[in-house]
Amino acid sequence: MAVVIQRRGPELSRDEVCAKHPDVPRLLVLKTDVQRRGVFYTDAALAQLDLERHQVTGTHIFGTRDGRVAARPESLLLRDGSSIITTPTPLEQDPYVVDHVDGRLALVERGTALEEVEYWPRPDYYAKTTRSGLPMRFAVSARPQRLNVFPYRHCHFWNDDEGCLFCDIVPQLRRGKTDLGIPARLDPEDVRESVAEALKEPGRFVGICLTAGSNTRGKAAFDEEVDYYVEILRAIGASFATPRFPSQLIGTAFSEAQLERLHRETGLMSYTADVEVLDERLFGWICPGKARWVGYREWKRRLVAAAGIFGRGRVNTGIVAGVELARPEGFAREDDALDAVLSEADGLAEQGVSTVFIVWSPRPASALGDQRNASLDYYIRLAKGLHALRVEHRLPIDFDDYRHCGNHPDSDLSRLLGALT
Amino acid sequence: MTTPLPDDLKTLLSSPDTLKVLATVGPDGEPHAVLDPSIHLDAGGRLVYLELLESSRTQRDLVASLWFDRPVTLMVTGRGRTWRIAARAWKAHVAGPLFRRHYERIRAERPAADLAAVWLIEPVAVTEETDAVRRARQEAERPFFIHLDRLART
Repeated sequence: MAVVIQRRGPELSRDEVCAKHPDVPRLLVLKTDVQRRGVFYTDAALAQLDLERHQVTGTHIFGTRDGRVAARPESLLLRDGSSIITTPTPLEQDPYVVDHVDGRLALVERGTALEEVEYWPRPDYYAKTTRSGLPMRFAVSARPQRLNVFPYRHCHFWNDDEGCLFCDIVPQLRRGKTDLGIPARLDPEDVRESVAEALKEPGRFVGICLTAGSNTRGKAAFDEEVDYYVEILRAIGASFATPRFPSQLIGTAFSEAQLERLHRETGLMSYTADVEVLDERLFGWICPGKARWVGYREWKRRLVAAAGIFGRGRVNTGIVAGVELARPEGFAREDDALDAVLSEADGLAEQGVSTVFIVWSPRPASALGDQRNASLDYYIRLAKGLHALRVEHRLPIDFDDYRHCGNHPDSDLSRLLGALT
Repeated sequence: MTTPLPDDLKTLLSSPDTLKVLATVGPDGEPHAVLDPSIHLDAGGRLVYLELLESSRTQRDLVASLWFDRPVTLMVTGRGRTWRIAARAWKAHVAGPLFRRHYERIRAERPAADLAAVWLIEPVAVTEETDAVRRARQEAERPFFIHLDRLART
């Protein structure tokens, strides 16, 4: 389903945004705008995709803006070594074009090549299958320097029609099962085998990230989610000689007892619970499941508690930036949204919890799929604001930087910093 | 665009005995320099610098060079000659075949070492800085800078 998305009134152009923010690199502005507008691959660009050398879309936990499930480049590498995590987008939505120009892949806008890019290199283990017969790329997917494990692709909030309004995880789960044969729930042994195989590739990976849909079941809410994460993390940990290994769990906001268990019983080194939108009223609208099962204030309180368990600079929360402007409940003015978000993020930062953002990518299978994201200037101001909070509060973000994620323009800026300890 | 280097300089760069100092400037304007005999040219005429530590000053400064088009300088000294290469960071390889090749070689040579990035640095200008060449250049271009006793009859 193609959706024609109208933007809000006049916006600063990319060049104007660069001129307004000379302290932000042009490459980061471009990266952010590509995340904002998406990409369209020309036939010439797709002809350069070599399945033996390049990584194609893997586990498809979230959908694309053009609504297609197809083998396309997973994403793009930039000259500075960072990635653009982006989604194929129909031409009528004005995406950047990835084309093959003068012998190189390039981001192109209105016929002008702006920046050379590369497809992500395919990891060695993508060619292999586990003993159970599952392609390892379905058990563990890869970014240029990170392993991703999506062990459970269902989110129980959707059972009561309380999924987050920007999210399409459950529609994608259905497509993944039907179109690709990806299991909804991974066997820890498949994960163990895949990680062990991935680690044989020298110099490829610097971290492992786990994320899944929320599972409300258990004696205490989310106990079963934690049980499963413990099982998966132990399976992963079997490949390491050290008790802890660089890793990030993006989960629900767990209770102290659940967090302590994760820290005590696994090698997990960092923890993320995405609040998605930093405003109590909008949280209730946009994240009804999270609001009912945990609540906004309790979500934040648990994040702060997690910082006491995992340590300052090892806990953060993610927001889907721009969704706070969604109609009809969102902020009407970007300035008001920015003030609100940064004020809330400041409150978390002073208690040891970072905030990072991803650019909201409205996907057609989500409830807000026909809406638009924010202006480029908004995202750059947000990146600067969140980065400045980390500097002010001396909060390192090494576990969620350009190597360990690559999807946060704000944490890319930390590359210019020394140690924040 | 990559500036081609003279053959004598290329020869010097290919030798591990040559002194090679990479000087960078931080985001705050603070200068920094590292001595690294492994710096070399690739087939495309770009300088290759292997940064072992993600947290190093040079790594940050090279990011700043790439992001903000800031200059870096490589001083090259050997066989009685010195060269200065003005350059800019062009690309950081963090994954892929080039990165892996260097990673495996470094790990084989130094088992405790890691590799953060393989930097490609683009020369934009080159000047010879050998003492005799610099002196001759000054005497030709800035004749008022010489002490008179050096010009006096003996």
